Amino acid sequence: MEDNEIIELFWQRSQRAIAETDGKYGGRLQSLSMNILHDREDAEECVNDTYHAAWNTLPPKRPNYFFAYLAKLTRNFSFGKYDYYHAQKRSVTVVALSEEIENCIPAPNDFEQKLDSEEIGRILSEFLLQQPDEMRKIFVRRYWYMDSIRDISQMFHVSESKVKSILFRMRNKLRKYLEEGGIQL
Amino acid sequence: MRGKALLECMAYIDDKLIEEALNPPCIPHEKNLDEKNNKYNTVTKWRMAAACVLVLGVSATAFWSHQQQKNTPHTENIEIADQMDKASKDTGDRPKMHHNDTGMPAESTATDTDLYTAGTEQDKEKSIEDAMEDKAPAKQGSVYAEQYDEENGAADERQFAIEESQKTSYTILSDYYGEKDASVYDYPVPQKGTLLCYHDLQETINYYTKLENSAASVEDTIYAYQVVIDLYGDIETANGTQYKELHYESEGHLIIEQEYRRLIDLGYAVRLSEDFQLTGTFTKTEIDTFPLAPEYGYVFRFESET
Repeated sequence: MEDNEIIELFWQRSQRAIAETDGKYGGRLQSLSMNILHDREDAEECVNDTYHAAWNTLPPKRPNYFFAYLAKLTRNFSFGKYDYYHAQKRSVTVVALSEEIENCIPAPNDFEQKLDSEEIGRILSEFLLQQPDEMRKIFVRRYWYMDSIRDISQMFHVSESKVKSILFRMRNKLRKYLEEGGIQL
Repeated sequence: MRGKALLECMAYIDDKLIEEALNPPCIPHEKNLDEKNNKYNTVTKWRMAAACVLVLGVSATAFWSHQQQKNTPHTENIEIADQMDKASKDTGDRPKMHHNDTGMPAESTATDTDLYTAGTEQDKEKSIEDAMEDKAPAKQGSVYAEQYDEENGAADERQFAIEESQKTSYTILSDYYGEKDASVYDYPVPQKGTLLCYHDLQETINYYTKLENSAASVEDTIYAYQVVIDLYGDIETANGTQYKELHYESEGHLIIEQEYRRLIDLGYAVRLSEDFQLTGTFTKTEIDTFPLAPEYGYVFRFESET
């Protein structure tokens, strides 16, 4: 089924929308989440959260790139769960104190923070679009899909050393690009 | 955490980039890979072909070189036979001695009777014997035939050369054949363009010539004589030009060397010592037909004969 048809099912509030989405992109979303969390149950939970978020946002949204839309949701859920677990590991007390103190301080300006992240994302997109296709895709596979070097080398039929070399050059170019653009992270 | 922040910012990259990376361009890449493989295979094939050609070339060169080395002695034997043949034709008698590049005779073996046989002559004989034993007279004959047909084409001379080649032993004599007496001979200075043989040498030549022609002679023996050549010529002195023995005059050494080179060029087995004493090995016929230079006088003698 085409992405437009699946989106249409969401708009029609059809339960088939979830099933079709899971059938078409469930495995890839699961894999993406696994790359971040390295836990099957947590990954499944993140994917289910993605479907739930998609059900809630479609409509009103009608994304042009349906998978990218879903994958971003999965990635965000996965990073959220990742942060949650790592925060727990650092110190339950700290987390607890943090949650407490968050109630005392003003909420951060989400709009400004999001704007900054989006701006950085836009700059990253500009940078990536200037790069050769293969190098760009390898970079995205590594830092967006969180694929391993071995998986990427098999995916692109190149040696692992070549993948490492490409990523090294890309990082250097990106650092230079960000420095020239005055971007501070 | 800057890295993690950047990683999180990756979430906001263009959806197009995410979709694009969703399905890596495996097919185009594989195509490129195939092209690379095809290029690699093509290059590899050419390299292998070039390597094969190189190996074959080296092998062929090595084989050819080896064959050349194997054939060299055979060629030399034929050349020796040709020289002997030519010498026989030139002199009408015995083939002359073969000499090496230094002008010195090849290795020889002295005997109790002060006669010795030159090693090179043995080689010549061996080559001829081999040719005969191998039932290859036709080949040998063809060599002679080519040589003679070019100049005379005389069948009898060709036959003579073959007969000469069948004489397989050279005996070189370097001293008087009999007991020496106390006689003292007063030899004249040889006139220009003449050759004077001293007594002992002449007597020895006569003796062995008779022996050679007698019924009791050994058929296969060719006699040659180891002689000292005294060269006489004009020398410029304070008193004017004088006709003298050149060996004792420093100005004459150059003339002796020139004469030595002339004889070498003519194919004679002559040597020149460090003190410019000219010596040589000649058969009787060679002595009889010696190419005398009109401006010099020659004395042929045994070394022991003064």
